[in-house]
Amino acid sequence: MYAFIIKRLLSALVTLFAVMTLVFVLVRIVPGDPAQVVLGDQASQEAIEAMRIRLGLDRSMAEQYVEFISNALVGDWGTSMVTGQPVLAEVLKVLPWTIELTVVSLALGAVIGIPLGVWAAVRRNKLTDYVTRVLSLLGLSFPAFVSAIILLMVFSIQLRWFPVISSGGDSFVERMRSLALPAVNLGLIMAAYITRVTRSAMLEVLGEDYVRTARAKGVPQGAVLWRHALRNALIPVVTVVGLYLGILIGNSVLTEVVFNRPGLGKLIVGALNQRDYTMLQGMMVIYTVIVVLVNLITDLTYGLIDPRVKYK
Amino acid sequence: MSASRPVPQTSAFRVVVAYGARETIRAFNTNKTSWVGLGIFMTVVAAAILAPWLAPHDPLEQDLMFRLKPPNDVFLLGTDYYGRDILSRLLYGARISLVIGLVAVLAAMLIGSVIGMIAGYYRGKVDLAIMQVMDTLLAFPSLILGLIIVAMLGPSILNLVIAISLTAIPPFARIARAPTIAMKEREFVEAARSLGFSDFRILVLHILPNILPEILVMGSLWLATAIRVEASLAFIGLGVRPPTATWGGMIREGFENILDSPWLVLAPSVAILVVVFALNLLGDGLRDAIDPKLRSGE
Repeated sequence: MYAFIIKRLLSALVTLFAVMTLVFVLVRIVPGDPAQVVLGDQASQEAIEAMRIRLGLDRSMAEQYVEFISNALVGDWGTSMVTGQPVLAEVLKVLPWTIELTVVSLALGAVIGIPLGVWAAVRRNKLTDYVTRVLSLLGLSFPAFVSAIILLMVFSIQLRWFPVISSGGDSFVERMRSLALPAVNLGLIMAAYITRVTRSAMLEVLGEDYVRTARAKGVPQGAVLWRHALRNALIPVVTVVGLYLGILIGNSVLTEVVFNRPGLGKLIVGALNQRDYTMLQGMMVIYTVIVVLVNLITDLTYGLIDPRVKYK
Repeated sequence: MSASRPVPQTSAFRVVVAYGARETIRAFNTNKTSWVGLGIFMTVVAAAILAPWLAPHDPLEQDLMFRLKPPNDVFLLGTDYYGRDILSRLLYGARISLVIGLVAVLAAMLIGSVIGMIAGYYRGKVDLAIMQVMDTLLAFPSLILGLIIVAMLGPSILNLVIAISLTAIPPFARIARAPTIAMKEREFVEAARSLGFSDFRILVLHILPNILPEILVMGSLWLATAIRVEASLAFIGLGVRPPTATWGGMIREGFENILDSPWLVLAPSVAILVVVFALNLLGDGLRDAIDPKLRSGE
């Protein structure tokens, strides 16, 4: 088990390193001088020169690269070109908002998607199955900002049940009220994906011999489904949910923008609009860290679901 | 996977094409929803091509006398903040979405399949290196990667195509690689090799036709994703620059007047949803049809 975790951690480090190199290159192939971009067209030559030195742009690429990587390793991701705050601090400030949103919507997606998928698989090729399939296909066809805008129009603007700007308040109730619509938006899209994976995984498992055996020896239908079949169907579900994390992250950016909710998404879009390169650099690293971590957690989860997995 | 048939050397290409056409129609008939998806999609394509004849107004013509008009007889879907006709902008916007989506996905399909087939056919270090790069690209959420690339290069049609196809290459490489590995051990490939055929010929004439259905089906599903991503980027402000009409850009502009003029946002939203849904219907139905696991289970 420990050997497995260490091996996975090592390969995660390789990916992280590769991505950081990619980030370094990407930021530096930008057309134009970043110092000029930060200071604007009116800046004097001396000011631009000073900014270049402050940003380390006067040194050679190799020097910049070594410094970038070594600083990043000790948690120094530079300071935002716009606010002057350390990038890491800015990221950590909004990170809880995004984590809260994604975790709640993932839970929502699982609570809706798994039972729906099981139900559709059991009623295969019946009306239930057909309706579920079309609805879930429709769900994953929704660009997240379109569904977010529709939710906003109906529940915030027309019905006034929820605040239009979901940046929360101090009280718990206010915080939940501002979380509700963004989480429902992401959760429903996630539910669409999870329903489909659960359905196809269940269909496969329901054809297995051990399910027939369980039925033959008189295990009640509910127990066959939830204890024998679903337990085995969950592995592909967990894998795919791990893979959908990228979609979830992309959708959370759009959701945060529509609901005006603080978070990584709002931060990265802000950094883009203000051409805050150091911030962008840091954001890309944090996104990669998140993805790599989640993949690791996904792998470890298999053992909880399936005791046969031996972590080799 | 479809069984390999003996392919006479002289007419190999024609046999492959005929076989492909027959299989395609069979796949469409397995799941009637594919026809529905194709029908809707082709209608949108036709509307986009015929936009100059169908559009009742110039999509860029501003008329400040008719700002923010709700749908009426003259402007069927209303007008926007600058008094431009929404319906006309919608029709022209379809062109941008479709061109960016189609070119990006075709490029990704081509590059991704070639990369994947090479990795799968030669294995070894080439394979390792290629797949490490693909995994690195995959580690990035595709919208974030697209967002960064467009932000760096600037929002032009070409850059959007580059950004979207870059995010789509790794999945195509993956889907082309696995069957290539399996296929190269099969007797018909070994036979071709012992006849002295070049690697290029084996890959293109013997392996490609066998993995093509899967790649094409994935292409239709990725076209849906590409159109969605393009609209999402435009919504964030990274679309083709205004005043060019794009669906995502129309939603972005309309969002500012959402309180009093909801139709600005509704029309392009429905358009995106319909196209993406149609493509998903098409691809999803076809995937069921070509999936050997599901084929026998019906």
